[in-house]
This record gives sequence, C-alpha cells and structure tokens, in this order.
Amino acid sequence: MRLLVTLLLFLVPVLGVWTFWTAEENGWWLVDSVTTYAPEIDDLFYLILWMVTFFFIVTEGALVWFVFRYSKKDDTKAVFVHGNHKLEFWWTLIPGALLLLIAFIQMGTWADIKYRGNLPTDPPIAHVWASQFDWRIQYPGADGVFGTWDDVESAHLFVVPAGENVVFTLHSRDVLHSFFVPQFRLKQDAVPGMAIPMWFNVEAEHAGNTYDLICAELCGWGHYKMAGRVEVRTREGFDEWMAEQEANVMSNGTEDQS
Amino acid sequence: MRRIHLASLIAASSFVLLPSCDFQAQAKERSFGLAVEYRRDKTTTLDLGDGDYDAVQGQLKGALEMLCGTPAQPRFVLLEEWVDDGYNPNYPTSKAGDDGSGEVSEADIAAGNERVFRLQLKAIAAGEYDRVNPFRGAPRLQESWDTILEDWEFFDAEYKSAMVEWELAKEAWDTHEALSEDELAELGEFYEAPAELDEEPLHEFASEDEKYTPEDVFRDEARDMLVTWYPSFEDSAELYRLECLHCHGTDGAGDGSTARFLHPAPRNYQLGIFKWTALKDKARPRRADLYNIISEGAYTSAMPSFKRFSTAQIEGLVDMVRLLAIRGETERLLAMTIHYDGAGDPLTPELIIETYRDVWGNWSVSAESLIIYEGEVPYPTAESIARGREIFMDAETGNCFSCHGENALGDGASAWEASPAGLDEDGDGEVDMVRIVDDWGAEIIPRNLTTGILRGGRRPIDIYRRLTAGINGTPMPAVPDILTEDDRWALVHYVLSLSETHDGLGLDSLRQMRGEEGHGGDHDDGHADHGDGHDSHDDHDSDGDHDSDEGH
Repeated sequence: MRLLVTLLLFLVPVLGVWTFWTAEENGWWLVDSVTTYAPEIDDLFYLILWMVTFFFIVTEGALVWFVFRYSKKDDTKAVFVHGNHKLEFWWTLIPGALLLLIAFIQMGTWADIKYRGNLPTDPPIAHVWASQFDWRIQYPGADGVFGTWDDVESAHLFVVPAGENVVFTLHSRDVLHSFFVPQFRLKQDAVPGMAIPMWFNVEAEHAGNTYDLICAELCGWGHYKMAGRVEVRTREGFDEWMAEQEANVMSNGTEDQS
Repeated sequence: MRRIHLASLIAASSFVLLPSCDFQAQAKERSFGLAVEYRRDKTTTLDLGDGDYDAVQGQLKGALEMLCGTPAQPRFVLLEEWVDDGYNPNYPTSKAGDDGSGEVSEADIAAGNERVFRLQLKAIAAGEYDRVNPFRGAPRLQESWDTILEDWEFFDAEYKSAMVEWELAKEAWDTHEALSEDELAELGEFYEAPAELDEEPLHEFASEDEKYTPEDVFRDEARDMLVTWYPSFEDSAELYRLECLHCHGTDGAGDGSTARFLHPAPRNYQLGIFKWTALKDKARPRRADLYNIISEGAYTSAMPSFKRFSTAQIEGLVDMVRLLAIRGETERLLAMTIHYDGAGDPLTPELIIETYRDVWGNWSVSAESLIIYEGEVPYPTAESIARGREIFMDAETGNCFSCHGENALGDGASAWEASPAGLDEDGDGEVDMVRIVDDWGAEIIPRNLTTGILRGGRRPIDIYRRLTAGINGTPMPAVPDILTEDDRWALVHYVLSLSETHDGLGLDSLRQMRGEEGHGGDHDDGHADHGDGHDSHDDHDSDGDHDSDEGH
C-alpha cells in the first residue's frame, strides 16, 4: 500500500515533466512569435519555466521520498518539532532573491513594451475601438488627422505594415475587453474611458501573414464573436490598401452597380 | 461515501445520456412556425377564421413548406418562367443577374475559404486526413468530404496491392533466366508479355503524363473541394442555425431566445423591410446590401461583424435571409387574403403561387433603385457646413432638428407622441408622452449624430443615400425634392462635421508632455485637445510604485 501510494504520487512529477517535454511535438507549445520584442518575452518565459522546473522536480522528489520514508508504520506517537530557524531563513531568502532577480530582469522588457514614456515616437497609425462584440479600427484617412470626416473605419480587420513600429491607441466603448494577438506576445486590456497607447513591430519577413485578434477578457454573451484579424502587409501593400480605403470613403456609389 | 456514489452516478449517467441525445436529428425535425404578427397588422387584426383555425393554420404552413422548404432543408420552389430562363435561386451559378448584385468572383471565394479552412488545408497538406473534419455549420460539405475520403481509401488500397503484385512480377522477370521451367510457368502472363512491365501500374489510377499516386490526386481534389466550396442551402441553413438563429429566430421573425435582451431588437425579416440599403423607393434589399450588413455588422448594436466567415459563407447567409424574408412576406399576404376573403378554402395552388410570384417581383428589381451620385463627391467647406446647418434647422426643407434635436443629440420633440393607448401612468391628469415606434413596433430613438456612429455607414455617400431615401421602416423620411444636390451634400457635410473631434485621443497630450511635435498636432484649426485627462494615470502609477517600495 505504501509503495502504491508513493508510486501514484510519483506519477505527478513524472506526468508533469512529460507534458512539457512532449508539448512541442504534440503541437501544445507556444505559437510562432513574430514581433521584435517577442523573443525577449519568450526568453523570460523560458527562464521562469526552467527555474520552476528545477524547484518542481526537487520539491516533488522530496515529497515522494518523505511519503515513502516517513509514512506511519506502527503506533509510535509523532514528535512535535517547533522548526528550524536556519532552514527557514534559507528557504525564504533563496526564493526571495530569485523573485527579486526575476523582477529586475523583466523590468526593461516590460518598460519597453508598456511604458508610455518608452512609446516609439512614430506617428500613431490607428485607434482600435473595442465594443460588444466588435473590433473597429479607425485610421486617420487621407488628411492624416484622427477624428475627421474622412477617417477610414475597418471592422474586425487591422491592417498594419511589417518591419515598422506600429503605434496605436486602444479604447473601449462599453466594458472591459482585451486586445490579444498571441503571435505578437501582446495583450492589453481595453478600459472604458482610457486611451491606452500601444505598439508592436512585426518582423519584415512576416509580411503577408494574417493573425487572429482575440478578445481575451470575457466581455459578454458574444465574447467568442470578437474574433478579428491582424493582416500584416509590406509597406507598399499597406499603402495600396489604405489608398483603396480612402478612395472608398470618397465613393459616389457607382461601383455598387456591378 | 454516499456523496461519492451520487457524483459517480451523475458522471456515469451523463456519459450514457449525452451521446444518446441526437442533436442532429432534432435539427432535422425543426419546422417553420407561423408569424405572430400577421394577426396584428397595426390597424387590423388578421383572423384566420373562427372554428377551423387549426385547419387553416395547417393549410398555410403546408403552403409555405411547399414554397420554401423546412428550416433544415430550405429551398425556393421554382416558378415556371425561371425554368424557361434557366434561372434557379437555389444554385450559386445563377445568382448573378438575380437582382444585379450577386456576382461573386472565384478569387474572393477562394481567398475566404482558404482562410476559414486553413486548419483543414494544413492537415490535408500534411496527409493527416482524419484530422480534417468536422466542417462546423456545413453538413453537406462534411458528407462530400466523407465520400471522397472513402473513395480514396478504396483506390489507395487497390493501388497498393497492385503495386505489390507488380514489384513481385518485376523482380521475378529480372531474375527469370535463373529460374527453372516450372517456376517460369507459374509466372504466367508476365513471363509471356514482359512489355507490360515497362510501366508501373499507375496509369490505371491516375493521370498518365505525370507520375501521380492516387494520394496525390486525392490531395489535389480535396484541396480543390474546400477552396472552391460554395455552401448549399442546407449548409447555409446549418450556419444560420448556429450563428443567427438565437437572435433572429427560426422563422427570421427576430424572436430568437436572446432577442428579448437586446436593444435595438434584432431585425424581423418577415416584413421584407431592411433599414440600411443603398436603394430608394423602399425597394427590397439587393444581395449586396444584405452582404454588407452581415459583413460589417450594425455598429454598436448586437449585430456583430461576421468578417470571420468566408465570402461564400456570407453569401449563403444572404440566401437564408432572403428566403426567410420572402417566406415571411408570402405568409403575410396569404394570411391577409384568408382574412379578407373569408375562411372556406381560399388557399388554391394558383393563389399561393401567384402570391409568391408577386413577392419575388419586388425582390428581383431592386438594382433599378440603386442611388448613385453622378459626379465626384464634394469636399466639405465652411460654407457647405453652414448651409447644411441652415437646412438642418429649416422646418420647411430639412426639418431634421424636429427629431434629431437642435444640437443633433437625438432629442427632438417629434420623436415623442401622446400615448396612443391614452395612458397616464404618472397620474398628472395628462396623457403620457411615449416614443414613437417603427414598423416592427420598437421604440425609436433618433440617432445622436454627434457620436460618429452611423449604422448605415459613415462614408459621405452612405449619408447621402440615407438623406435621399430615408430609412426603411422608420419615420426618417427622404429629403424633399426641392433640395438641390448641393444642398443635400451640404447637409451631409454638416452631419459629418458634428462628430469630428480633431484629436489624437490621448497621444497628443502625451507628446506635448514629452515636448515633442505630435503627429496629431499638425491640424491648424485651433481645436482643443480632448485627451488631457489621461496624463494623470502616469502620476498615479508612479505614486503606486513609491508606496510599494516603502512598504518593503
């Protein structure tokens, strides 16, 4: 019985490690990363993953061993131990130091991606409006100014140029939404009443790809319908698309005759 | 212990019960109902008779099923003249010319299908055919897929066994000189006719000029099937069931189970009236009008954009909406006939078909009512905006303010009327003022034009069309003919100017804070920035950091 329980418990670390070990070949792993800062995010992820893996194996191993070694065998009464100050000191200091280490290592990456002060100085390309249950992308149109009559609006389709800093603001019209493109390693809540500046830069080699733009904050019954797309084009392709949209704004309706 | 038993009982019974629920069968048995509304024609109550009400209802249902099929298998019954013209609204090939807007390019269909079937196509390319299904919302496509997969598996097995035989024979032939007479006799025909060995037995299964295995052929065929797919009516009916039905209802009466939570209410197709089209004369919408609203959504209503579907899927949904609208209109007309001509047996086949033909007559001429502006769309100027404001406030011509309000906030007095039922719920001795209602019976809230959200589109031409034709089903009228084209465009420019903000929405103020020349700053019209309020967030953030540092 003791052996059986120990073996069952031993399955936990084994299965845990096995899941991660085989995740990649089973297609359970991270999706491609395509933005300039994505590798940094992935590096942080792997750093933390390896730390956690190490401690997971050590602690699970200890647990399994303790269960096997110290399980109750006869009627001897357990001894009460108050504790060991030296041991407690170290097992507080080491995780504390590691947490601090992580905090310092990630700071630069986080600041680059999220701090307003570090926002690239490129002109903003669009305002992204989230609402129940819709992504609406507002481009400034031919005059280059937002909030004018010739703004271009695009439903569920965010077209961006590759190889450039894409700066935009995120807004919500009603409740909390979240702008999430897994391949960009970018996720940001949209908060009603706030204009949240954001940016990403898709590596030029990924021009021509389309990525899912998902709402990552349960926003109501139609949450699953908030499936937009981010279409990455070359600069020429982007300009071409934008010119088409600008022409569409000035349409006199004749193209509807076809 | 008992609790554990209960839990395992529930788990076990759900394992047994869930698979036994045949949801598919349920879907097939669905039938169209009759509209509630045909009995309430605003002024008249349409009555289907006294004693034999059920019988007449049954008759009406039967007639409509004959015309439009069932929810799981909808289809239009063909009119004689269509057969002569070779027109069939049930097949995509003849959709163009239907009302002049049904033409869909093959490239569009392919692009859309490649997107929605990207996982399936990837699996096909990788040879993982069992990972391809299911095609959600496309039962017919699933059937076709199963069929070609089965066929291929059969041919592949045949091919592989033929290859094995051929390899054996070839090996024997290559070594036959070392064989004895008896062994040569066993080889039979291959020994007699060695020429057959020149070629592998591929040609029996695949094209002769290229060395394709049956699998190569199948892979191309499978890819082709998905990329060129255009939904059958049944596929569209299933997609409608999955995506549209819960608001718009089985009959398209706007009475789905989630409908009662929504304002504005989901469209009831059965009147054949659709608010936002590019058409005048209250014409029935073209395919392109319906496509547009499905693809773009009605912004900030519960109708979302369905751009995640492919072109073909949306075209299929357009078919469904048209079917439900035509069915609903026919039903309404038939019910009125029964009501006014008395009961008895008025539903002769001739009457049914004639009514159906009349309804179709409205739907097939829509393209003639398309509003286009001959010439270039003019740019707004200060003068045109001022002229627009004049018309907006002029009770003789524009009279827009009466509903939309002097500040265009949608708060004009004409949007209210004394309660038709004469209610006085606040008890002040006067009849209450209530909002006027539209053709579907929903309260009308005139658009607040300052928000920039215009559901029928916010391009100048969209607003021009709205002014020229009004909004179907609502009191929003077409502007009077005495307004010249210039005046109409002036009004368009005024409406557009109402929602302009000229701001960078937060970014301008950020750049000013950093002392940069903002992008949005190149507007020279002196409008104030509206994004100032956002700076304070940074301050709060830094405060928060200090606090937490001290706390440690």
